[in-house]
Parts: sequence; structure tokens; C-alpha cells
Amino acid sequence: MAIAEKLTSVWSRLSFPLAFTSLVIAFVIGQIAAQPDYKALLQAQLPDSTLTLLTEAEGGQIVYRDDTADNYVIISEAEGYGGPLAIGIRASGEGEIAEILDLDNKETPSFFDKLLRKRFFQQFAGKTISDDFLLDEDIDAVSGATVSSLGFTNAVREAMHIAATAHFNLKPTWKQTEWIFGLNEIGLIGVFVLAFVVSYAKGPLARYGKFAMPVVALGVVGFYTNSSVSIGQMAGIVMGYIPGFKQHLLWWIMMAGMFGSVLVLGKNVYCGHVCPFQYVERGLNKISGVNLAVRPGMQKSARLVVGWMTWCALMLIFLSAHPTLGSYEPFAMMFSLTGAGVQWYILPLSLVGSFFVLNFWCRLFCPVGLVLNEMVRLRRSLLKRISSHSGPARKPDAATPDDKGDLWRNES
Amino acid sequence: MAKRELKPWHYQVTTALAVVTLLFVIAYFVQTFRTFFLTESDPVLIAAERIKGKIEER
Repeated sequence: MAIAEKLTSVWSRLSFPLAFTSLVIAFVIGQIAAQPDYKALLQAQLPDSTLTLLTEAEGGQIVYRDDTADNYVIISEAEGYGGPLAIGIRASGEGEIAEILDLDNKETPSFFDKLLRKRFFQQFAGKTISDDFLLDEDIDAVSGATVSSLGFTNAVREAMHIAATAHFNLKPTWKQTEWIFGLNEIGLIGVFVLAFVVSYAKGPLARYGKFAMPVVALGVVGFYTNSSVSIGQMAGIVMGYIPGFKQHLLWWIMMAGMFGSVLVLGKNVYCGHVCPFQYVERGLNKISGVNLAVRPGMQKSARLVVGWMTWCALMLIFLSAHPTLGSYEPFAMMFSLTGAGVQWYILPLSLVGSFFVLNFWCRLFCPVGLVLNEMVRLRRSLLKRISSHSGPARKPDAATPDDKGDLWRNES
Repeated sequence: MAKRELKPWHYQVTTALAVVTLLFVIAYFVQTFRTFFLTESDPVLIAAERIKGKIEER
């Protein structure tokens, strides 16, 4: 008995450092392995071609000459939905595109399959080096995979326009990229404004806000923009997969709202009000009228289990350097009906669970909630330490509705 | 608010639902691991080869 207790105590002390160290090792391995060998990737797609490296020009542009077909392959990288992507653009000596070769991408497989199914890449064939390559102008986005479409289009545009100025000495006549700021971005800002109103306002404003919040979050974050946050997106930031401000403003608004509320206000506004999946869960639970209790021991160990699931997800993501691979959450499936394999069983199970248990997924499985709530806790304990060193203890902030985001502690 | 009546089968149902969902999440990890690491490239092997190559170069 004493030995078992000792082992448990040693394990509880060692488990976090071990988990953290293993994640660091996985990250390093993943980063070393992820550096793509473009020539090998190209050769795999063009087995009959003889490729000669011509230049490694500015902007990281790599150009190969295909001696067999007498044309050129320009390598280009851009930011996609899941992380950086690399393509090869096969073009003639006159700068006319023959085909686009996917060399390396970290897109969600279901989104990438959508691009292939809708023959997205075929529309680039025949375009010339000085075309605009702007989404929804001369290139059509694939509905439901807009961010992936944007990533690949950006990669082609950047490569072709660098080649146009560097190798063809052309003066830019093409349209420049513009800020992407439309209904999606305005809607998401509106969601966060409403979430802050619900958190801080009192009286009728807060009451109306609480009434509107589920509809707005479900409509905008869920179905309209499908921008629910996953563990993959969080891990992507750690790996430096940060998309450009100008073209991915939606991502920046989401991250600023989510992490800003945690870091500046010490509140998990995202889980408390913005996440649309919680409203699906609450709706189902309301419909059923059943709210089965969770065993108190299970409630406690759920945090540990989510911790281990988050570790598994992060290990997969860091080793593969592929953020979407570890995202086991059913959010994307729920709102865009795209998923792969076992993911299709997780969504119905979480919905059935929510039918019987209030916030089933949030309480027992969500890694995003775990990370955000841990950040809130860490911030609180840091502030407490600072204030205890600098003077008399400050009265803690009054509990707010946002603390309900800490579902493991408050809901039983 | 009336106190909720707790019955043993409540716990059994919630535990069963949680365990089944957990199994499917684990199955998702296994599926991803198999498709990426076994059918594509093993990052551990690639990293080891690259590090070995760099050491040999020096």
C-alpha cells in the first residue's frame, strides 16, 4: 500500500515534466523532419522528368528546369488553413501555366479533397504570368474550403508575380491584393462585442444580449464562418503557423478576442459565450429535459483524461508538423459536415451525450476549454504572486458569468 | 429549485457514454497515427537521418 502511494505521488510529480519534455522533443523532431525536400517531392510527381535547379531567387523562390518537357517548375509557399503549403507550378518558357502540383500541404484532408473534387487546380491551366490570380475575381473559390482556396491561390500568385519581375523583367500591371474585410469579419467582431456586453453589462442590455448570444454565435461562428477554434489552431501558433494579417483577418480577430480576453481580462469569454458548439449541446439538453449527473470522481478525473488527450493530440501535431491531424473535436464536422473516418462517430456520440448530460463535450472532452481555463488559472496565480510581493493582498475579482467557462469546476 | 434526484443508473449511463466517446477519440488518434506515420513518412526516421547526415557532413 505504501509503495503504491509512493509510486502515485512520484508519478503525479513527474507526469507534467515528462509530458512537457516529450512535447518539446516531438516539436524538435517534427520541425527537422518537416523541412521539405522539394526536388524529391517533384521527382515523385514527375518521375519521367529530368529536373535541373536553376535559381534560388529572392523571396525563397526555387525554379527547376524540366529538360524532358522543356518547361519550368516554380516552387512556391503560402499560408493555408492548416499551416504552410507548398506547390510546384509547371509553366512554359512564355510564362503560361500548364499545371499545379501539390507538393506539401497541411490542410484538413476533407477540405483538400473538396478542392480536388471540384477541380480547383485545373482552373489555373492556361493562365499567364501577368494575370491577377485573385480569388473571386479571376479564380473561383471552392465553397466550404475558402481559406484553402485562398492559400493555394496566394501561392500561385506570389510565385508567378515574382517570376514575372525577376525573370521576365515585366512591370507589375496586375492588381495588388486587398484587405479581406467583409461580412465574416464584421460578424465575428460583433460576436465578441456581444460576448463582452453579456459578460459585463447589467440590466436589460445583458438580458437581451444573453437571449441573442446563442443565435448569433451559432449563426456567425458556427454556420456562416465555421471558425470554431480547435486544438490544432492553438498548436499551429506554437509552430509559428501564423497567417498574414491582410488576407486572414478573421483568424486574427478570433485569436485576439479569445486570447485577449484571457490575458487582459482574465476571463475565458470564448468558452463562456462565443463557442457555438456549447449552444448545440445546451439546445439538445433542453429538448431532452434530461440532465443526468456525472459521477463526482469522474468529473475530477475528466480533467486528467482531457489533459492526456490534449497531450496525444499535441504529440501527433508536433511530430507530423501538421496541426489539423490532432484536432479530434467535432466542431468542423458539425458546422460544415466535413470529416474523415472515425471523426464521423465522435460527432453523433457527443450529441447523444449532450442529450443526456449538460455540456457533455465541454465538460469531459474539450481540449480548447482545458487550455484556455489553464491559461486563466495561470494568469490568476501569477497576479496573486505579484500582488503578494508588491503589497497587501488585493480583493479577488467577483465571480462573473464567464467563470462558467470553467466547466469542470462550476457545473456538476 | 428542486433538488435533482440522483439514481445509480444516471451514473452508469453517463459513464458508459463517456467511455464510448473516449474509445472513439482514442480510435481517432490510432487511425491518424496509422495513416500518417505508417503509410506516409515517419518523421522520427527522417529527423534521425537528417541529423546523421549533418553530423557526417561536419
